[in-house]
Amino acid sequence: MLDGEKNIIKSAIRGKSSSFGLLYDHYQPRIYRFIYLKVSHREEAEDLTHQVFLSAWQNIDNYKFKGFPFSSFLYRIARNQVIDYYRTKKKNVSLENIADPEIESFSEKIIDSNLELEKVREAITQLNPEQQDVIIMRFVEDLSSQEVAKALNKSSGAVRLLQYRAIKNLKRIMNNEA
Amino acid sequence: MPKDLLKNLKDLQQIRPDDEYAKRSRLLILSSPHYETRVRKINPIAIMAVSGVFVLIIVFSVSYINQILSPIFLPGLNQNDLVAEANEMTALIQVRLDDVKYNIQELEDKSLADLATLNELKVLLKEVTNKLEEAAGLGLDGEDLEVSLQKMKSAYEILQEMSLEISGVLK
Repeated sequence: MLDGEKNIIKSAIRGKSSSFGLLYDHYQPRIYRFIYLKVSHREEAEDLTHQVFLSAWQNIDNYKFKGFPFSSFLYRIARNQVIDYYRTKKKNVSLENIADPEIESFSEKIIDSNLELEKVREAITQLNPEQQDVIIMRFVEDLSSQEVAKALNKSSGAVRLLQYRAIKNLKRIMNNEA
Repeated sequence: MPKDLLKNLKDLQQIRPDDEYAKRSRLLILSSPHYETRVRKINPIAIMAVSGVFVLIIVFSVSYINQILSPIFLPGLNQNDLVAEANEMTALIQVRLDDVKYNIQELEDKSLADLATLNELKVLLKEVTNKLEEAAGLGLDGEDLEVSLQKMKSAYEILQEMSLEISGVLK
């Protein structure tokens, strides 16, 4: 959580753009990462991340501070953006019957020569969306179970169960690929 | 969870957005209207002045966008740089105006602004308006564009001074 986050959010709600700028600087990289890991395409991830923060800025009055970081609010918007993205994409693909030629190789773009990371990233994409969310939020971004529960609108118990299944599936996928 | 897998997941934090994209996206978002600008009741005198400047900025931005999209326009590299700089400056001015507007509201809410301060702010806003009017009135050729840019920069500096002054009162 950002230092003095509660006050920063309050002034952003009142329209102070520089305060929202602080929130943007702090949370933008992780929201981008969350989206990138789910859509596997740099430019799409950039567009969706932009939409998430634009929507957050325009709807920030809907955020209620209850001890949880602003990230929970952002992750909720991000999840909805990704769901809409796949809904639209699925419709387009079924209509046009074309494959996306622009899926990028993660290893080429970001981590040259680290095949293990590439394998993990690919394995994450094979999980179902909720399991992806839990793995990214809990283990890539280090969010607490409570924060994840808030972002996913689930109980902590449900998140723990999701996490258990997600890890099990991730290990299975990794072992099958090995 | 196996330690290797956990470490690899943590290492995915190396994924980061492109810096240029982040800077551009930030400017665009912060210069877009905030929900409160549509619904909030603010000092009408101050807001009339600010709105005047907003209109000028919008007109100015549209001119640049039209120029970029015009098929007749054949931009040189330097011209493109100037246009990009002017667009960036426009966004910066809008962000700064948001702050000034917010702070004027703070002055009013907390009854911190005396008449002299409000008058001074009005004079400064008038000066910003004049500079932007002059900038908007210039042509879009290379030399004029440079002069426009200078005027925009000067308007931005005044807005920065205003922000500082208001912040001083609010402290």
